[in-house]
Amino acid sequence: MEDDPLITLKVLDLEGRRVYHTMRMNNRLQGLMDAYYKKVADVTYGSGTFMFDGSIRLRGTNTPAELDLNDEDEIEFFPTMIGGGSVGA
Amino acid sequence: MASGGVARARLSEERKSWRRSHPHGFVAKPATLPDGSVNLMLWNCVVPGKQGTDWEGGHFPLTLHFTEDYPSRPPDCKFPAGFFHVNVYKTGSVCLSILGSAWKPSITVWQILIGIQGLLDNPNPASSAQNLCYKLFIEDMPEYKSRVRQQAKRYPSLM
Repeated sequence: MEDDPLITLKVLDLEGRRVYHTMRMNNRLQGLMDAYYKKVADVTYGSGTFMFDGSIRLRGTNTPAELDLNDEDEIEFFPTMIGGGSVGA
Repeated sequence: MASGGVARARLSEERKSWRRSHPHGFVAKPATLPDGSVNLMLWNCVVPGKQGTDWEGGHFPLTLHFTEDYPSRPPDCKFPAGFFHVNVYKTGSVCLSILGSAWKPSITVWQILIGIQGLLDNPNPASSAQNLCYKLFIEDMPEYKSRVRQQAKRYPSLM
């Protein structure tokens, strides 16, 4: 097997919570997402978007290596916004 | 002394620490040149409007232009030209104490962006940089607020 280093990524959400996850550079990011949802019980599984640098959207099938993520990088979690539903004109 | 090396070393360090930790919803990254290399002297940033203010929902693009004198001198911080804010010049340049007389080399990109976010909803009419916005702020608060909210809608989230 080729050298596949371990890195630790963190997810930061709007409430300021940080969830750490250690994984290999060539593993799927789904593991990171699952770790976040598991840790924060009040957030529904699959209800948001994971972004890096405001422009790179993480997908579960991507790997850190593909997205140029480094050890200790901070990923942001954004709850999905749904249009409509607010009360009043 | 190669003073330019100081600016680049500091900016490269700031970028590294930004990747590791930064306030939620903010973006700060050096521009990428067409050939794929990184221009450390020009940063493309996004400042989100604070929740609970008329600026909420807006993700305002801001560029930071650094010189080789950084961090002895602050960067020029620019919103798009014509940006509606009492303390922003027509060119988009932000007029803020910490980016002028109150600048200190220890001030970080993080602190600049937080400072600018705070300025959005706390304009200083005693030091106006644009007439129309100032007049509305002083004379027609409902119209001023309406324009702020319209502007926030023009800069929706990147997602």
